[in-house]
Amino acid sequence: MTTPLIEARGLVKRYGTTDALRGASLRLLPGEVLAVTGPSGSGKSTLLHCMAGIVRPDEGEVRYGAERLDQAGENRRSTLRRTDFGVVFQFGQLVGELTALDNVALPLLLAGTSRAAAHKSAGTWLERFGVLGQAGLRPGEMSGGQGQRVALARAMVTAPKAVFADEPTGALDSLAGEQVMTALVHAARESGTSVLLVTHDAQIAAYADREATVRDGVVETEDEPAAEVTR
Amino acid sequence: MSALRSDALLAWAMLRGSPRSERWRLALTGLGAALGTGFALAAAVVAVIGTRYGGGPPSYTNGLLNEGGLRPGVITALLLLIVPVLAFVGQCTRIGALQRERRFAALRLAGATPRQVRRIGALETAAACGVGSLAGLTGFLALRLVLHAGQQAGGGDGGPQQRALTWPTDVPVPWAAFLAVVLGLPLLATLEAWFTLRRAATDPLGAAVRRRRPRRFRRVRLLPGPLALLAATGLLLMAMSRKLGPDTPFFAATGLVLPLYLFGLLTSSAGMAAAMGRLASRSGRPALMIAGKRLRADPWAASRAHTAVMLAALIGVGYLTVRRVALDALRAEPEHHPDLAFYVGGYNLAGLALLIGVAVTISGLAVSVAESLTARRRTLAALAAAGTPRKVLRRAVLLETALPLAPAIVLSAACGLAVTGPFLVARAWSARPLLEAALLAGGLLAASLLATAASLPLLRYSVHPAQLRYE
Amino acid sequence: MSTGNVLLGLLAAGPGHGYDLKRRHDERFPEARPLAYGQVYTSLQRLVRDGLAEVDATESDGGPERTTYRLTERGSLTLRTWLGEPVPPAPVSAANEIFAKVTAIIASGFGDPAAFLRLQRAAHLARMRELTAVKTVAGAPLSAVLSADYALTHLDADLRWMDNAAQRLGALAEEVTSA
Repeated sequence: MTTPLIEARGLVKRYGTTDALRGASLRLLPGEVLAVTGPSGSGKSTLLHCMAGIVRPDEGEVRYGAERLDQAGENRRSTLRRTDFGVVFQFGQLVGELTALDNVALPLLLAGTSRAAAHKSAGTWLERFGVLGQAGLRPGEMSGGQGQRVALARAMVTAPKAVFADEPTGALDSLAGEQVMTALVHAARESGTSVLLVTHDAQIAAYADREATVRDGVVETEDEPAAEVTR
Repeated sequence: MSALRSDALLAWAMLRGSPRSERWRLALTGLGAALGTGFALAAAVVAVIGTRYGGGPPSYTNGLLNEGGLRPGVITALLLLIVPVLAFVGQCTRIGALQRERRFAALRLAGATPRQVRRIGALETAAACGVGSLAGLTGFLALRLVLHAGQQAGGGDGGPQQRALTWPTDVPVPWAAFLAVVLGLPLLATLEAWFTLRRAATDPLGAAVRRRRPRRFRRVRLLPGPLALLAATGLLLMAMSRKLGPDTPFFAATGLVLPLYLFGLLTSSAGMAAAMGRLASRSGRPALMIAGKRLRADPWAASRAHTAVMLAALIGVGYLTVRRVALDALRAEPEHHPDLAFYVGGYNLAGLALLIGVAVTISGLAVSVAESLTARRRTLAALAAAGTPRKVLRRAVLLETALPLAPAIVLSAACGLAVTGPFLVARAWSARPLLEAALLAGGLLAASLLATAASLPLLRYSVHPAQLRYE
Repeated sequence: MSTGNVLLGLLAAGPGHGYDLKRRHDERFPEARPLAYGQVYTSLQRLVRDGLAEVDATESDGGPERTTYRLTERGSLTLRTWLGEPVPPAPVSAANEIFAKVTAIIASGFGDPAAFLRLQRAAHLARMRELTAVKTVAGAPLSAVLSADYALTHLDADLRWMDNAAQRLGALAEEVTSA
């Protein structure tokens, strides 16, 4: 059996008096696109946050290689976000004050890459996702689909091991959503990046190799991994 | 160092793309820094008068500058003027707070460590305050030149040295002290920002995702305020009942009573706002109800905005009473006090300083109302969309200031009178200080309402239906 | 939708013989079931009988004889009428086998309706994955994309219905068993 890239076991997360997760376990395999579906409020976003190291679970463990993300400190988890992981949310992940180019270059700039080098990679990824023409615009000046493609470029610019996408097409019409999903899946497959894709939309989940469904804070079903991840 | 450089570049890139509110915040912060720098520089100049850096024996028309024993008082007054400036800057930092929190969250999500975010935020403050401080320095030097030129021109044939000057422009610029002020003030502000950003910079999911629960107003928190006020009054009465000579009780009492009153006022302001809110929200009139509900929902906002005004009322009334009683006493026996003009001049100068402080305070209030109008635009737009007439909303905004502020000012003024009570009673009793205190309280309230009204044009933008669209 | 109408539409683009028309159809609607040649032949005969199409030419350059057909005036008019009418919104649910199975599972007690719905969801998603792969392959023709989209949207509708059903199984069981 393939060793998972990230494995969550028995995650519990409480917000106030509500339990977002009540013992959720999930494996994200290297190079696969895994869809996590479920009704709203089922805890799928919280599961993604925990596996991406954005939020620390109250109980349970998240393994990334030999590392325990649930125990890693704030700095280590921040560093991982600009080296090994990328995130794409429904909205809000771009800095409204920065141009698309600066936004994409941001993880590199934060890691101390020179401005010229960071902008060069950022430009390459913007072109790759067809939004190089928007490089000088700020998120408020772009269409939703363009903004999400800029967010994709940002998630991919560090050549991450995994991209965490939480309803990346949630605010888009279906054609713009199709473009974003196609771009994401193609780019991920080409670079061997795993994608954890949270969505409530089966048509979006159909871009993934496998599906896991979440209900009431636990993973209800998880497709068996294919013998080998195709393509 | 390179990390600092790249952070600075990022901060600059963000500043260039920042919305208007952010620019306002930085501009007003800079203005505050400029004002504070000005006061500190003036204090530095007064500090060197009469020393070996001070360019000769002091000879000015204002006695406060001539007497070596009085100059520390002048310096203290100038430095105290920085307090309302700080309150003003504090109000300004709340402008666009939500937007800023969102920006920091986005940075964290992109992999910035909490430290990096704090550094970027502190750098913004450092830049704004640095520019403000430099502007303050330039302004001060320019003013000095202008005053100097004016005094030279007015000096006539006698030569400037023989004639008493109004302004100490003959004092050489104490560059070392100036440098310390111009560098130190932004440094302090930056350190302050570094510490206050500690909480803001932690959550990568930010305000959008985090479930925000309004801080619950706990009744226990209502206790310390009135208790402190009661204790202070008790102490005061005790001090007055024991007649230990004319001066001892007064000074002993003020040393303890004034801080107690200050503490009591500051801690009871939120409770008062909540109480007024409860009263108002029971009324059937829409404007009162809206204002009342809002006060009940967040009494801390009102208390934050009104603290400085309460302080102004307390200190202002105290000052007026002392001044009135002291001057009346002097005027009663003119033969023993040939230097009456000197005292009058001194009190007037202190009054001027107080007036400047009040002006800064009221500006801070205007900023806080403007900030609250823009921050709450979704709520206001929803109220307008649901059919609330704009007139009612305007009235509600005014009431939101007036309801908690009126009793707060009255209470503060009463405390001011109480602190100076022993002094009043020891001398001949008269009703004039009471009248003056009432006038001051009324004036402060009127000025506060004017400042609130000045922010009302913003309401037009805040109630626009476009504010209801999903952000 | 009759094969005759489809053939009229294909003939409107220009005359063609039977195999020609079948090829045109299969190219334009790659996701639809390919037309059988025999079906094309009988439909053409019927069109000629009804006066909607006529023989254009018969040729045989060495090989077997080929008859080319073209649209008549009446055929053109019929096509116009057909294209001007909306397609009746079909009552899909009447033939909903998934619903029938769920009801039967509850009534018979053979198996678990929730487990069946999960199985069905997996099958639907597997098919949706195939269709998504078809339409996202680089350089996929728009006709393939649009027909894949049509199928995807319908499968998605099924899935949504199944999600609803899964959440209401308890109430459904009560209704079925008490009836």
